[in-house]
Amino acid sequence: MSFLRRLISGGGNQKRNSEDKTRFFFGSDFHASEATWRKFTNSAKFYQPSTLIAGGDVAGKQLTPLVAQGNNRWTAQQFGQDLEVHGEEELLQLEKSLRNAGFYTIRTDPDELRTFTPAEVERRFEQEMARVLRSWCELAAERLQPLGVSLTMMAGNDDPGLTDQIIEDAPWVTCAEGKVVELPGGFQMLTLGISNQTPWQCPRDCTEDDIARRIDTLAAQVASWDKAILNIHVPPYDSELDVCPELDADLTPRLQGGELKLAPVGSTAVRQAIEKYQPLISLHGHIHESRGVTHIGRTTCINPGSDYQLGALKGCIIDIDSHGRVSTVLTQG
Amino acid sequence: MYCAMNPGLLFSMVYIMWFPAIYPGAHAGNATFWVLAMFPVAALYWLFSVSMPRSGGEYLYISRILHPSLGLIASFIISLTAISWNGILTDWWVQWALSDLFRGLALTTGNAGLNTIADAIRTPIWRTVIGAAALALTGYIFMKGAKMMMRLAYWAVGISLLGALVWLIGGLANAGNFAANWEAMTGTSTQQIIDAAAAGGFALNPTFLATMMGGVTYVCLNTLGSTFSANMAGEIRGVEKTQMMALFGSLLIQMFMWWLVYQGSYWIMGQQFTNSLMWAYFSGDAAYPLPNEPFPTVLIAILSRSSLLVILIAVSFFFSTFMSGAGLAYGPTRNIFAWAFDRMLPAKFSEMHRKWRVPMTTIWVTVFVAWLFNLMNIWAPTWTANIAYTIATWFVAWILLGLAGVLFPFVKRDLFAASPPVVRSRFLGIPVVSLLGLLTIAVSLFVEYSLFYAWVQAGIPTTVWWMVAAFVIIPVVIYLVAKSYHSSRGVPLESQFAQIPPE
Repeated sequence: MSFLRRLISGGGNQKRNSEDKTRFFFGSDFHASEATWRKFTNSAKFYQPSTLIAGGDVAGKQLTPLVAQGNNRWTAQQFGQDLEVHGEEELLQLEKSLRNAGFYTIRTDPDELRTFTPAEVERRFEQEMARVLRSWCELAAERLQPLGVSLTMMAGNDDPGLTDQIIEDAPWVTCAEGKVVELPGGFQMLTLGISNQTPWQCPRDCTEDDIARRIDTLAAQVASWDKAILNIHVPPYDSELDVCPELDADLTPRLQGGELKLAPVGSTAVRQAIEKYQPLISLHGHIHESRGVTHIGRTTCINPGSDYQLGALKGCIIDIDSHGRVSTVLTQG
Repeated sequence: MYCAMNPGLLFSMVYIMWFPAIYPGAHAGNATFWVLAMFPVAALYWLFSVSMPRSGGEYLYISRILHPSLGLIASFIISLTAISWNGILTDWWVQWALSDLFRGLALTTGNAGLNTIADAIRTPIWRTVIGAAALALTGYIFMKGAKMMMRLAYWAVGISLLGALVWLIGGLANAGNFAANWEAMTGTSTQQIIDAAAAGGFALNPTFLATMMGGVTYVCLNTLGSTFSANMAGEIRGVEKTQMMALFGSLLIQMFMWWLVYQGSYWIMGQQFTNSLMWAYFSGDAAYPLPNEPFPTVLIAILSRSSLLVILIAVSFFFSTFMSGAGLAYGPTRNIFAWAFDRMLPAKFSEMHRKWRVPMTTIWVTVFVAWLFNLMNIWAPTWTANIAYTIATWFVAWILLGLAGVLFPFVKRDLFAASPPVVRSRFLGIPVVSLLGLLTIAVSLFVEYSLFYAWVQAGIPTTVWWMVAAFVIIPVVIYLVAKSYHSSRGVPLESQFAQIPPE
């Protein structure tokens, strides 16, 4: 009976739990989803890591106008569908739903909407993006500081340049972008929020040569690769962490045998760097649908994936014991 | 096409032999319309796959909405049932396509020596050898990946349609000669068979109750696999439209094809004679004149005396059934991958082979389990009967799925709110997904009732209950062992599914 009780309670061998381990929790590609970020900053209580590591692509992709049509009637578009709500309560609900799915929102009216030039839309988008990111950093400090859990943030290839400064200025948050930073347990983390060329010409897309050069420059600051984490937004090429639908010239997914044709799109420079330096761990994001954990040589490579549109938090608990052994658990909550 | 292929588009050729005998008074043609009862279930899968377009199917939905252990139970039941059928179906085509091909040709050519080959193929040793080779081929197809499976699915559906049309057109073209041919080849008249059935107390005229019970058992219970597109929703483009076409279209295709064979048999041989013949065969009545089962391969030989039609039906049944078995086992490979990904099974099951880019361990373990069921079907047929009955547990899984549908809008408010509009639609203010959940539970309970009613009537052995219990208990044990193991390693199993509140 005692065995059964242990089985059901999951009590197991409590001694092993008390081993000296360093725990990190890594999530990536939040894309302005309010629900996902809120869950991420609350994850410290659940998973009890020493540090939360936020991967790149914090910015959203779309600004959704909520247009006042008079008589407390508001219209908007979501997923290509026309939406209509009535009254402040319904409007707040719609705003929340859009924000949770990663859309920025502004309240406007038809007259103002007509004045929006592309430049004005860009300005309002950046304004909203900056406001949300600042509020995220404040929320993180408010939640994590009392717990003594540190947070590192970085940019991703989708993020405009102004994100770095906002993160840099934020309290409690460590801006890891383009640096080698120290982590608890004596670990070092080399961070670059970049990607190889994508079909969408994102702000931080680079050539493979540029990626290799930037990694090598920072690599000189790493004291020991046995205790190093390579945190680069784009995953290594052909690693199973970089598989996504192949696109044709019109950016339409190709089909093969009635199914999406999948192809590796990661960075060859990142793969070469991992093979060359063999860090303990490499952290990636970028390819939302290619969630997984794999190995290149002795390096444990992780892409937690992303489901930000659904407000779901996908992440990875990373435990490193005193002998440098890494264990990982992909989470979804 | 993958969804349409899985339930076995020509299984109606097998069931027409059993169905009227087990449910006296059943009208097989009308019974096919009971497939409509499965539409609420298909609709629930559709909304779930649109809301959560990720691989895993019911495992994903139930795990997220109810509890991971319940998700595993439901997924395990469906997966093991499907894999077991791969093994059993392999033996079906060995007997009724391969062996009966020679038996049918013996009738059309008058070469009695072909019966020797037919009999040899039906010996356990040859069934074992052919079954093992076929399952090895199945594993190779799985290794070639989804592309190969989907291509073969198109062929399977096309060839199944060919088989059904050959039976219908070939049969109707020769229907006028059937009675005379039958008498010449068997030495007994069709009326003698009908009279024997009537004398044996068999109900010659259709009744609604028997048709309904038969429809539930031999139509609804054979839609297994028609929802497997939901298990690979993460790999399908345009989920909303594609899943709708797959889930509903597959049921419509199945209804049409089964109706062609069932109703076609009645048109060709007459409803009373067809049902009476099956009763005579099934009950072992002395009036039954054939040396083996009245499978369409043999019946078309008697009807038409055409070797070509015999070959076409045998080849169609072989390819349709082989691919149905393969399709039924292919979906579960994705489920097992998902269980391993969630740490319910060792990580080895979720490892992708570098060269082939498929979960190699999972594929070959699946094939191995199917092979065990194949062996059981050949060497211990009593136990296979038990396995066949465990298909009832599949509807236990759907009761859990229905419950997840009912509760989805209320326990996963954020996910529901973030779902596309079609998922959030309401009827009379009630979320449609909840209504479909209720209907799924109702349909599943009705199927279970019909089955248990038939079981009790038939006085099935108690070992069946043990087998049903095993299908439910094994995943519970797997979950508890995984939970205990991971708790001892530092990161409890629940952590990875824990819903973290945003506030």
